[in-house]
Amino acid sequence: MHLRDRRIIAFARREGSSRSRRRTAAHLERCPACRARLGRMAAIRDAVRDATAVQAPDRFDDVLARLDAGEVVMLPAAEAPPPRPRVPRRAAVALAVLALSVAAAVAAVTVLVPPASAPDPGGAVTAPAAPPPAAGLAVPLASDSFMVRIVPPSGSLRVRVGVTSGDVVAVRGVGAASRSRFQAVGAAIHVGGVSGGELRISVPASARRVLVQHGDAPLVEVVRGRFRIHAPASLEGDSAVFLDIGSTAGSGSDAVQPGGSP
Amino acid sequence: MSDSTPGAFEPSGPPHGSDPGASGGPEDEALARAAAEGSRKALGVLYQRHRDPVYRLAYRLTGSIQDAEDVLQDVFVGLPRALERYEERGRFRSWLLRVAARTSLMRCRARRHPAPMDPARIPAPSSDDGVVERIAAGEALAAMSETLRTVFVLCEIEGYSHREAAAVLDISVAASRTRLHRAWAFLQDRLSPEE
Repeated sequence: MHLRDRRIIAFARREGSSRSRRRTAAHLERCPACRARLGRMAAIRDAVRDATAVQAPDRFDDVLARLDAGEVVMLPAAEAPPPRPRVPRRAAVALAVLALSVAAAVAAVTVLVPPASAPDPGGAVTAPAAPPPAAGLAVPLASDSFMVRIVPPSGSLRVRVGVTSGDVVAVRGVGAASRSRFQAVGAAIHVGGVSGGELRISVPASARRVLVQHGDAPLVEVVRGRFRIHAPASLEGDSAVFLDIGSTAGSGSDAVQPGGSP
Repeated sequence: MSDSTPGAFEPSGPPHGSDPGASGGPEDEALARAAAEGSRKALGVLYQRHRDPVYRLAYRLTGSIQDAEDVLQDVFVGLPRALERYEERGRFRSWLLRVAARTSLMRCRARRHPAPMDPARIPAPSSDDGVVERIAAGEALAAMSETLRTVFVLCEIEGYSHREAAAVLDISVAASRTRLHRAWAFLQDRLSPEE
């Protein structure tokens, strides 16, 4: 009776209990066939390691050039976030319904609540409210889309998405932003009158270059799937960039999905 | 294998649960602090020290020289900002390699169709000893699916424990074990001597 592969792999990796390892070692001592398999695996591992032992080119000047150009690369955390605890299916449905209800209530409050800076007519002393998040641009990495989030009372934004290839870029308003004004102008989508909510911008992975502007100022460039941030950015959560961007006045309407050939 | 003591069968590879590349020590820590504060010189020293292992890992995971070069660049462009989140004092190289591994995996996932490793780009072995076996091993790794290759590279080449590999790959420890077993079966099948 020979050892199973799993046991040899575990032994080679020094896994398992000391008792199990002693038993495996004892078997190997008396079984030339299993010893040969263990030795063969070590040889394969060494061969793979040697065959892929490439030497890195020295291109630190390119790193400096990108840093000097103001490029920001958001790296992932060293480990994936811990998994969320599993919820039984029936409970999950109930939670989803609850979450939807809460989200609807929050959305209504977000739209209807007056600006935090509005004066208190009664002059009563109230607890200081938490500062509202500024309007911004969140860029989830390794994704085909990113999001401009507008939170009242930041006013309106005007975002221009320029497409230089024949790809299709979609800009969709969510929440209060769905009342924004969207217009396809040549190879660009102009968005005006955004007073809240989210703008979700979907960029095809094959797009060669997509430029997001606020007014005339470039904010984010996506070049062959790589994000280049032109404005100061800070971390939001683990894998997103958040930018403070200014605001302009306006009013909005529907979303469009133009084909973007220049 | 003429030595009959149990110790003779201790594996030659990296031990279970090792901290892959934990070397670097206090110098790396000081350099990392300086780089986080904007020192380009410190960043340059870190680049020279760690570019080879970062590049090798990226190449093994992505299977592409071009992707490995991009990952190497991205990691060091993003390093000053990422160091603001670096809390694993004393384990800079280990932390850097895990960040590089996850950056490589993001690049793999961003590809519409996972690219198989290009055997033509696998470098020529540096010596003639075992040259045929090394070429065959490189080709076998190239032929392996990305799912299996990433686990094999992390667990067997980089010396990660299953728990460490699972954390980097965002999979369960059981999945890591199963994939490693399947990867070994694949390699042994491809590289077994013809009867």
